[in-house]
Amino acid sequence: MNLQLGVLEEIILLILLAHEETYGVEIAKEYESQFAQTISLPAIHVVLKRLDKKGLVKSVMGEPTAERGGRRKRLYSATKDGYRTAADLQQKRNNLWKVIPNLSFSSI
Amino acid sequence: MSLHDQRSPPRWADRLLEKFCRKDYLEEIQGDLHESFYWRLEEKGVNTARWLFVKEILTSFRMSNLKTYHFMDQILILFKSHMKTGWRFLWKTKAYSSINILGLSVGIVFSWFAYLYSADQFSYNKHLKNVEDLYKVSLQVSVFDNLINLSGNSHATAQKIVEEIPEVLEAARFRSEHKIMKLGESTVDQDYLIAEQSLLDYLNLTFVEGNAESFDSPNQAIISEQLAYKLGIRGEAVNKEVSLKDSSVFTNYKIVGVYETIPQNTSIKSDLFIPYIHYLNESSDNATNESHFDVSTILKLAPQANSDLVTNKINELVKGEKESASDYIYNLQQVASLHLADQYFGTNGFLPGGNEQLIWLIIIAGVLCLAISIINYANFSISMYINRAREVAVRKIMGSANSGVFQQLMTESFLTTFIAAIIALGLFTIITPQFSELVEKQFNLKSLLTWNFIPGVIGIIFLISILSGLYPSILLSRFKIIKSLKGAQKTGKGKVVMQTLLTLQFSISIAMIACMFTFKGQLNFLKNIDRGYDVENVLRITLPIELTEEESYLPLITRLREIPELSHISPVAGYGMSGYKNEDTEFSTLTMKIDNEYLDLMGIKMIQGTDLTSAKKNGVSNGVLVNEAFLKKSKEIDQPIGTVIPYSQNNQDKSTIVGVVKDFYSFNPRNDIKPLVFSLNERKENHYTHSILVKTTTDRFNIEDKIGLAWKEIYQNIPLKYEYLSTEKQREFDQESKISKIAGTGSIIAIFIAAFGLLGLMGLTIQQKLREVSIRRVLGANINNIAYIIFKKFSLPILISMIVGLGGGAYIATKWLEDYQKRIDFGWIQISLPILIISVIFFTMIIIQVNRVVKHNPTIHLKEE
Repeated sequence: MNLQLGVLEEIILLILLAHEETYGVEIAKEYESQFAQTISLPAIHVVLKRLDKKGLVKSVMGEPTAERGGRRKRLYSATKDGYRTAADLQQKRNNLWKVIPNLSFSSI
Repeated sequence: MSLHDQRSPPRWADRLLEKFCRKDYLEEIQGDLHESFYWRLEEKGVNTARWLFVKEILTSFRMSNLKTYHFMDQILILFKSHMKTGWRFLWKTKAYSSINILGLSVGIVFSWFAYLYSADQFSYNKHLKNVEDLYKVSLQVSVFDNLINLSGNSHATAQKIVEEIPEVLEAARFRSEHKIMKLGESTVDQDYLIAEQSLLDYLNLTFVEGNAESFDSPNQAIISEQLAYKLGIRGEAVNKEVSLKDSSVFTNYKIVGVYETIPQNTSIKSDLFIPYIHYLNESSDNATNESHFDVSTILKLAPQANSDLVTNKINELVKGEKESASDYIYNLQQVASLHLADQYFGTNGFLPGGNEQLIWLIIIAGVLCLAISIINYANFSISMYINRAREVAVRKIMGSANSGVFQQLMTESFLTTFIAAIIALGLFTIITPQFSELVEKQFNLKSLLTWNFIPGVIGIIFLISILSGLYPSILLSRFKIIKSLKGAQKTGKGKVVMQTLLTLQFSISIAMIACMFTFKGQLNFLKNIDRGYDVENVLRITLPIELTEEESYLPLITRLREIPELSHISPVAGYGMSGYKNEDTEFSTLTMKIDNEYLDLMGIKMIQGTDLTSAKKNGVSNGVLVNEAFLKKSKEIDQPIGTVIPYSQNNQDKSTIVGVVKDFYSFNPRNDIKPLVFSLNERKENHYTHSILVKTTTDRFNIEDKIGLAWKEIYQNIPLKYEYLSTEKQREFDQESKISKIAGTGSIIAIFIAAFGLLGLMGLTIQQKLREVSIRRVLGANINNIAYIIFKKFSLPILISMIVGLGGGAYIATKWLEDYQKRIDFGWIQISLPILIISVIFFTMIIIQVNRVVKHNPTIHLKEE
């Protein structure tokens, strides 16, 4: 797997992995609760489109709901490739963590 | 605003999204934004939620989700369809279209040239700093009955003007000189300006190396990038030196700055500047003497100062000091409009001005050529109405409105002009060198494609499309459906318009031809006027300024006398001016000092009396020769020989007329012959010999080499400058040659385009009358009958245009000829030649078309439908 992932891309991919199916607003809420900072929806949409292009997520149109003025939502879920990429990244990161000597920083 | 409105997302932003966002993205984005709005409404309040909503809608737009706007789509599709139909029509009528396009492109090229040239001429000096406040001082001196314009002024007067008149802020004084400059191993004659620092400021020089901040001590220099390149020191010129020859030794001038070469549209232009202090140091007199009119002056007035008032003040100031100063009249000429100003003479640092007559001629020729080609287009479109009537009708049946048809036809006109413009670009590249040479400019394709010109260039294209397409489009788009389908649609006024346009077209062409023949005739007439002397085989060797003293040029004369092929050698000075005065009359005369070989060399004939040397031998010490014009002006002299005239060289001695020479034209025969007095050059005083004339016996064989060799033996380092007098005299007709060339080119192009237009129109007429012609032929009509049909249709416009064109041409040509003292009449040649040319073209076109008809099998056209 040799896919470049941006930080925001990875975070959103992780959020998607944590849910079975989710959509823009829910991702924004999740993000804000995790990081305590706001994120704009267009940014999320762009990232989702990008992940979709890379084949890491897939989407289907959901049912219309009243709070959206009767509009359907596009529900995203991670693909197997998405899981593998995220896991791969995490693995590499763990490997790197292992070689960081914890003496000098642990007391901070 | 109600509460409900406040608690829902802003509607306008929503609409914006709906309008511009692609459908497949819209639902998701809009839904998410709406949902998040309500979520934020609870968390963060109304205002933040609304603000974020708007912001996120705006930032939602990406190139990928933008909707191709359907309105644009429609226009695009329509345009595509118009283009396709237009292209098909052009292709179907290949022959006519190509005549059309070719004519248009020639017209476009000519108009571009006119635009380029006039824009250049009118742009002179506009880029100078504070150009609105800059004025050139010029001086008018009256010498007897003559007004002489001096470009110069004196240093001291300029100083006084700046000090005494508050509106004058500053003066920039400069003068032009030239010296021998070292260029590597060899030397060249280099022009330069001695200038005050203020001039450099006005010129807005941009320095690429060094600067001219302290440009005031002797032996400094600033040079242009171009000169730096020539000297081979570009990029490292500062602190290097240029060597100029002062009398006999080279003096070094330290380069303190290198500036970007001054744009060509500047009246004051030089590649080398030397500080002004050199002029003041040259002679102690220079700073104080008020009658040394040898510096050019530019004054900087206070903004909004009235230049007329300042001029008056200057004249009063100068008058106040001198009793006789009424002879001097100071004038201020605005620098911004200097290039094309009347009474502007490019001397002493100022470059020669432009020729407004030439500009207007080029503009008029360009516009007329364009007009003729536009008329061609309009005429073709109108006369093709039968071919198009059915197409228009079918379009209308399919639901097209008048405006739709109109758009279609206008698109065609744009398409045609566009193709013509592309061909014009090619033509432009080919013709530019010739044109540049004609107007002494360096134009190329790049000068057309600059940001200053592109709007104008494209503007011309749009203007042409609209002018040529408008009337036919309006006419054709109004055709009625039923009539068109039945073939009964008449163009009504269209025919009249077409005939009028045709008449106009040929009137213009004929007028242009008539003018061309007038210009050419006048030029030939001037060239062939017997000047009263013979310049055949006469060479002028121009002496550089350091060789004008007798001791420096005498060795050359001695050496030249050893060349057997030279029959005459005579050093000459320029003309001077003096006055003749007695009780009755007062007039100015030209004066010239000559030696005993001059008259022989030039072939000037004596009418009576003896030559100056023999007169001297006979004891007449102040003998002079006068010309016939002198005698005519001075009326009362009946017996010229021996008459003592109150004319004198030094205003001390009286001179005695010892001989009379036949009148000859010293200058361009445009002007009358002036009174002239020759006196003997006794080589006593400094009289500024500027050249040596030699006459050769052989016909140019080897002689130039021999003179070059002689020159090199004596003045090794000084470049030799010589020219045949016949070439020099030819140059006097530069203006007439240029005018006649441009008029010639213009009228040839005009008649060419018009002739093609006529050919096309005739072809269309026949095509539309093919059935009539076929029936006639089947019934036994001969070629003459068919030719007569065409002749009848076009003879009236041609006849009218001959009358109108010749009338107009005669009027313009006569006006132009009035400027000349010696001139031809607008006579039979000018009238008959255009008539002949047009008739030949007219009948040739008829013959061509009739021939085409004869080749057709008439039955084919009768079988149709």
